[in-house]
Amino acid sequence: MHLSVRSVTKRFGSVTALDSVDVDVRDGEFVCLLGPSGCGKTTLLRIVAGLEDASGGTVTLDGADLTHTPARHRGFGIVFQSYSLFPNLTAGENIAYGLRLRRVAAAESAARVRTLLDTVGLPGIEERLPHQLSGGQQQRVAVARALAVDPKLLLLDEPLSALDAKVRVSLRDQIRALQRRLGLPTLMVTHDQEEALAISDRVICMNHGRIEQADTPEGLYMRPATRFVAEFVGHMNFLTREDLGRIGPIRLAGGEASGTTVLGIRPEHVRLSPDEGCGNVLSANVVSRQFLGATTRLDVDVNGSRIVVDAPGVAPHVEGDAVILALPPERIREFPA
Amino acid sequence: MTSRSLRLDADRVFIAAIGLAIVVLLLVFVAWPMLIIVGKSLTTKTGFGLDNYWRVFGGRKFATVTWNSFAVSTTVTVITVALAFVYSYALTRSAMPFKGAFRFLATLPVFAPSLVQGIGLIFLFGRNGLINTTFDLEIKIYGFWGIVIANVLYSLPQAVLLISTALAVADARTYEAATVLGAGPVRKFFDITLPSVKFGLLAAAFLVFTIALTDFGNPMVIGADYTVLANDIYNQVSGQMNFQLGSVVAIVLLAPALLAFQIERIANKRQFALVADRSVPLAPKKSPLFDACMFVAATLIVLPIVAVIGMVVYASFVKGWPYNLTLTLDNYLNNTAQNGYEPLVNSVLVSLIAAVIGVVTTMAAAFVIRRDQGVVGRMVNGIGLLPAAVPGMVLGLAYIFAFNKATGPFSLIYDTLLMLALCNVFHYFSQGMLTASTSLRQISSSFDEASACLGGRVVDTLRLVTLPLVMPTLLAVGIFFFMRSMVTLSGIIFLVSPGTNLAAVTVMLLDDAGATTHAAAYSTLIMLVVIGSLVLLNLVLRLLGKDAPRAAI
Repeated sequence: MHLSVRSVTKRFGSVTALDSVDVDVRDGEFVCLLGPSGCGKTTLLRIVAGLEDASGGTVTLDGADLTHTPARHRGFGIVFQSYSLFPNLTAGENIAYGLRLRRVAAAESAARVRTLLDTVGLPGIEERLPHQLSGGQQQRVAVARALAVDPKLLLLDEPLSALDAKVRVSLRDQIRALQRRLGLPTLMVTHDQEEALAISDRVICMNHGRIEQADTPEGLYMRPATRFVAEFVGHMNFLTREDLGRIGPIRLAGGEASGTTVLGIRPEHVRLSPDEGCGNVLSANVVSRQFLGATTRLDVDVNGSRIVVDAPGVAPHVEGDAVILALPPERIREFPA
Repeated sequence: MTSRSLRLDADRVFIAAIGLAIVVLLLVFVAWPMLIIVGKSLTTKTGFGLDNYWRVFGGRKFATVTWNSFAVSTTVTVITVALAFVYSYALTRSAMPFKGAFRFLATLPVFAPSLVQGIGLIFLFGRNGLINTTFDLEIKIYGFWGIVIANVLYSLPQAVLLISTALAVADARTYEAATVLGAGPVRKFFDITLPSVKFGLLAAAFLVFTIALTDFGNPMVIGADYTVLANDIYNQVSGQMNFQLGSVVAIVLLAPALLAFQIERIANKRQFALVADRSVPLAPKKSPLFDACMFVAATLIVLPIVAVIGMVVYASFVKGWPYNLTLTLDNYLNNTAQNGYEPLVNSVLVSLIAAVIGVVTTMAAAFVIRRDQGVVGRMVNGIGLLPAAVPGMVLGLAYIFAFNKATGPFSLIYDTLLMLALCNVFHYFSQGMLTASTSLRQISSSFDEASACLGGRVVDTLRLVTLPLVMPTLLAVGIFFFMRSMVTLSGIIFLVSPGTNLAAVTVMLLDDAGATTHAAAYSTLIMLVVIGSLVLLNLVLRLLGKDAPRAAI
């Protein structure tokens, strides 16, 4: 099973929502489309689903061209953000909807519904109407409904965004476990970077209708390819040429920074009170302090440039304290200015 | 988000086919008759020209009649909007008791033909009216003030509906902010309340103006020598068989109606664009003095409505008005002057047919508008809104020219109840379509999409999901067409024949012939049928376990 999106472009009037995008989802793979609202991720998912026409490019599944196949003939399962369960049908009837359209016998269909409800952890709720279920339960029924027709590909359009934080995390884990067990290739849209990192095999980070980077969650976080990715996924301190002028030369793993690029370092990679022999030692003053639970976030001033530092646990520093910090060369990344 | 597509898919063809069918229906039953009436007004003995217009405009009476129409409509508008505002304010911003009853009583006039107000007023204030005979007075109700009062009572419900909706969507936080900043009640009224409903008031004003301008029943009954444009059309056509001159007057009536309708629509849109998504609804607080004042005001406003309709019901049980007030069922049992109850049966049949055709066509139109964002959808939306601006009399007259022919393709519907039903369907098409559209828009598009991804065709989604969801609206739209068809007079007045007479026309004929108590009995029966159908709808909905939709008035 291999979904392949090639040079897909989508224009709404004069606005280009997608600009020649390539995406692959391989057998058993969980891929996330991550990006801010308006980046084109939902449009891309809808083009894959067949709910939207591409202005150009192709969508193929195992080599078969699907670009002009209507949604109802694609055989994909989809789960939307808003509860899209049919409100007039019971949970059981919702799950059986696709089977009913395929004229599956009633007994067989009922057995399938029972199995699916067990699978999503909601046994025995066949007769309930959607409004009698909680948000998390509704989304699990929606997943069961999408799985009922043995989809070749599962599409998830921000399925967790409307849920409470706790429910969101537990359902996220359930979906991931289920997807692993079934080996079902899945494409999910989300704007939540933590969610994308936690659930995916691969994350495709998008901005302004283009793909910024497609990588494993670790690769995306540790080796962001662009400033956009670095800023969108996690937090990053950026040091421009002006900053280097104020704080002095900075050594990188491969030599001294030339000043033609922008340097980036994550707050948790900045070291406080470093040992002897560390590179790039700077003296700074604490401007503000925020206690975040697992870490303490310090905003420090180095000769007029600001750097954010995440220290583990409860940092002893208070506002106005002088601190020594180091920027380990191997942790610094370079981006085009 | 929408998209343009070049691919030919069975679903898209299906939607486009329905759309085209609706467009064809609207062209045949709305656009074409209107073109013909324009053509008719330009047809002279010698060919084509503006001669008819010069004859009408040059006529001695024309200036007076036009002036009369505008004088009546303007007066009605000012009085109705003022009263409707007070009434709506009492309903939405006070904590007065019996709000439900007040809401219901204010809708009463919608359940009866417009001439019932006129008939009721005459029972009260006419030459032989209860007030004049009892107190030996000589109040003269016939003419200008009679028409004005009757039309105020008739148009009040629709103005109240619009204004109270506008008042109801207030955001409590605005008022709280003003209070915290030190604004008193008078300040808040002029700084927040009035500005927030100004477009609603404007829309109500133009709606009332149109109703008063195009109403035919009340001037007919109570106008006496005071002629307005609507009567003039009737006199030209039915009295003098002068179709060309009738068409000219109809077009004179159409022009301001079109303009008023456009302004009303724009104002309405502006009013409801003001509604924020997450406003905190305003819950009126108890304030004994203010609530008591509002209660008295609302009672004084609703009293005439109830009194006038109550008089009609009372008179329907009276032996000989006003000298023999013995109660009797004679008016019901021996109501034979105008073919007995055949017209009432006809009316019920016409209304049922109109309800079925109305529901199917307006729902199909709304469906196409929702699902096709291309040319077809926009065409349906555009032409579908046209009839709202066309006064019933104008459409009815146009139907005579277009369809009342014993030969040709329309000979099948010539002089049938179906023809009358079609006239009503297209007369009220826009309101039905708007109601259906609003209801469809509330159904999330993700249902359609989820269904499509599961392999459903558009037809499957319609059958299994959409139709069950809009069932309450379907019934409401059906009841709307039924009610309107039961009570309308202006649309069908030119189209009825002795064999296809309708109840509302019979009331007019009975009243004209001096059989006022019989007319009253007939009116009461119409109201009974209409209210009965509403009760029935509510029972059905309760059995289905659904909330009753707000009756589309």
